Amino acid sequence: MHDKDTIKELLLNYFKGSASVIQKKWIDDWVNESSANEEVFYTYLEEWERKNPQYLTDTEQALLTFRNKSESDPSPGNILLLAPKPQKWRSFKLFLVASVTLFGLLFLGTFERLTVKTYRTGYGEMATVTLYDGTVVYLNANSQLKTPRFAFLSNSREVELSGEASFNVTHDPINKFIVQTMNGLDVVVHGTEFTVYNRRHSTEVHLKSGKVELIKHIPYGQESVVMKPGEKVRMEDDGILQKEKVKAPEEFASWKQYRYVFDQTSLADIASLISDNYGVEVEISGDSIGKLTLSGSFRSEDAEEFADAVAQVLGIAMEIEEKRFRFMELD
Amino acid sequence: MPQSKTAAKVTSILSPSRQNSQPILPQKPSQKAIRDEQLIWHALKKDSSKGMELVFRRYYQPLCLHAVRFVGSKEVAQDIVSDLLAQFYDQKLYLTITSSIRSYLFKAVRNRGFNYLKFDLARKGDLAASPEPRIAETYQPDSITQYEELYQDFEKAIETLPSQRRKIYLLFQFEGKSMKEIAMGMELSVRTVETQLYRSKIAIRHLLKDKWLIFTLVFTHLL
Repeated sequence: MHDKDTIKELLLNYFKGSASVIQKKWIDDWVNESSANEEVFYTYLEEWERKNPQYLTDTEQALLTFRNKSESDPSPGNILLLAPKPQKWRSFKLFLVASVTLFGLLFLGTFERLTVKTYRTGYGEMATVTLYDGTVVYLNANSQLKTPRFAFLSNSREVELSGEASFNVTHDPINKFIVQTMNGLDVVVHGTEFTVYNRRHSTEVHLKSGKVELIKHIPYGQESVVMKPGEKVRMEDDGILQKEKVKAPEEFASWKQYRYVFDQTSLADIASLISDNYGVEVEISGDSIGKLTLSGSFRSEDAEEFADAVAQVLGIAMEIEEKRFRFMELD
Repeated sequence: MPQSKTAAKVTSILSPSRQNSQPILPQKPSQKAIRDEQLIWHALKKDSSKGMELVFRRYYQPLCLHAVRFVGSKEVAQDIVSDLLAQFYDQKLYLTITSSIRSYLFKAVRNRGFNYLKFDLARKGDLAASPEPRIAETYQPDSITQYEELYQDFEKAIETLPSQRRKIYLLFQFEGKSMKEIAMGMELSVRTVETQLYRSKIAIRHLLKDKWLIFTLVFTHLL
């Protein structure tokens, strides 16, 4: 009833896991029908495994192990020793190409390490970095800042940030201070105090004083926005820049004092904040409580205290198991 | 095809060079696949050691790839396949089989994988300190589609794990990384990694138990 091509397609679908119950039943019966059918089954199974490799095995190594184990083999290993001459030359060329590539890669890696200095903070850890030009950077937990090591040579003031940091930039009219983020948004500074937040999918810049210019890299050019003190700009995955006034400018970079300030912040956002800053897994069970919001400020140096306070205020329950926090509804 | 011609072909493929000895891949399971099968069989009869080389180059990779679907670990998959091929060679099973070499090897590897997974799910307690489950052709499902159903269910169970837990599970189980390596790489404590692994195991077990564990549990009770 089925021709060869239909059977092949059916079997390949079945290996992929998309055959129906009835098709499976048909396959069972069909395989039982004759050993020829069974042979066809395994032929396509082999073909399917070849075409969808999950990883590559080291057949040579396995063969070598096999040969070493079986003592009955009178000439183990001699297949590897005798190689015809032209292939020797070819393998020499291969070796040459490989070593040049390897050397190049090594050099590139070292080169970056030589010219770039990286500051990194772990979970629940903060750091203050003073750059050579006098600029002070407060690095929040789980963040990374890359600065040029020989900045004095080139007078470059370009740094790269992932995570969250607050900057107090020394004014220099000639050399602009630039903060680059992973999301393609650069902050060009004209002497000021500001915070850059760049985690996961969103980037946020808060300006306390002075003036900064945001430059967004887009295909075939760039887009720029000038910020005034007391403003904040947020960019999500969609790449649209949203500007708004900061409601409480005094709360600027409050995390520097281990203080967290929320303004109609959802529990889902707070959960990702806890997870980013303290490196714990935070789970919210139930859809309804993720949308609860919170306003106010907390002072807390550790995650447990913080999460407890949040749970109490929202009137929900929180439990901790092995660095895993879970918010849930009260029973 | 006369016998002498076949022999000449065998020796030309077995010519001593690494570069030439890529597995002979068939484009389609067609006449070529059948000819390859015959070629291997003749080679095994003529010089079993050289014949095994052909078997390895041809089947080792796909057999490992198939085994890993059941056992979820590269290392275990390789062990199972190596064991199977060693047995195939030592006991000269190629002389007694009635099906093709391909069918025999795939069938055997599916049985071993199937039983491994079921014993693995049935064993309790700590991950690190448990004895290896017995890998033997103890139980054969009554229909061929049960094999696919088991490893597809297994894969679905892994997919339900939360992303970090799944990552840890795969690094440990599939890649064979140690808990310490994982902890260092992910900036977590070893204890956390251990707990995550334990939970993965429990979750997978929980998802598979209703459908797959009844038989095994009864079986181990009888032992």
